[in-house]
Amino acid sequence: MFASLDGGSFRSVRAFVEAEGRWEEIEPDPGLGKTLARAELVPSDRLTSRLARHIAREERELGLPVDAVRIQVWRIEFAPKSLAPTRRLLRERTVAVPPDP
Amino acid sequence: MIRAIPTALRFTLLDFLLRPWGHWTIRVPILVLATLGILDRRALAAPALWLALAILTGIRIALDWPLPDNHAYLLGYWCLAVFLGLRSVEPAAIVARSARLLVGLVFALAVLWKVLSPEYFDGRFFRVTLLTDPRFEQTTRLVGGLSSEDLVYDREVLFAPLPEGAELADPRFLVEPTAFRVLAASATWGLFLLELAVALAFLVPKLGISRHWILIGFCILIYAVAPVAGFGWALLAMGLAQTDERDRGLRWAYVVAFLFVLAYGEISVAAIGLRLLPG
Repeated sequence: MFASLDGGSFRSVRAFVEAEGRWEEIEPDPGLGKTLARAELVPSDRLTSRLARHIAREERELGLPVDAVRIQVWRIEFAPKSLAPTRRLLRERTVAVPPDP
Repeated sequence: MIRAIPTALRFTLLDFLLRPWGHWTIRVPILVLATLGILDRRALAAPALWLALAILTGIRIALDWPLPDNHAYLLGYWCLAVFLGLRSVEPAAIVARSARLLVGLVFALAVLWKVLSPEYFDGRFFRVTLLTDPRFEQTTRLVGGLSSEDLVYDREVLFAPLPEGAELADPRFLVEPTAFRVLAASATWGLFLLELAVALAFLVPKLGISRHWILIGFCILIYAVAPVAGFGWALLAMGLAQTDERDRGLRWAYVVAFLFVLAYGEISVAAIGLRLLPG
């Protein structure tokens, strides 16, 4: 109850898709809702991989090529006196996506 | 006449009804059970109803993990405690004892979390929360002396983080009037001391602290500023469950506190204060 700033408001997820040898950052679909929020709060292997697989599936449904998806979970930290905000990488995970059968 | 345990159980069911949550497959049976319990005295005292509520709450927590807030966990434990108490030979005593331990542990863990959090006692937690959490916006403006424009500016600064080790050539400083600094410091220490007092009063009864009045005071004061009604109602239900059947005044005080928390969910005390202020 009201003790820590390490919550959802100060965390964010960045997603990158690799296709044809180059990486591109994408805006995760808001429809990913809970999958995104879960990976943001608990960036474990399981939850970040699940998010990556969801993103890969959505990209393919749009007809876009995907070889891998990289998930980064960031946190904002505040300096003790000035509250100057800095961004810290909490977790990065890259998931290779098998080619379409 | 207000009876302690039945009214405490009705408070809990009202909590479920007034703040429904979860997927509809969970929410609908919870709402049906809560309505049955409020309408029918036998259903209210049926252990099966409380076991079903505990299981449904547990399923919801498992399905949504890790997203449910602490209020859902507390309600789940409380429903399980009520089920076990109602199945025992001394239902009122067991339910009351479980309620005392649950309230005491909730506050003891809240105190522990603050002690372990590096950003609580140096004031960062409340300085950032009061500036960024929309639930505190009116209080920050009313007591902290910031304008809406100041808040917009401060949020822009706080939500524009730099990479680690980087510095701006022309750094932006937050607008934090003295009144705001005093508010943040008061909130930091006031909340800590109040939570510590509640934890001690409930876990160490030998100290003789009047635990009921501290809990009622906590709910009337804190939930006026932090509108988390569901949590407040659960705490009040557990407090009321521990009252002596002879102490009518205390039980009415719990009912009044419940109504205060209900009202806080609908109207913002700070917003009213802002409207009454000249200019």
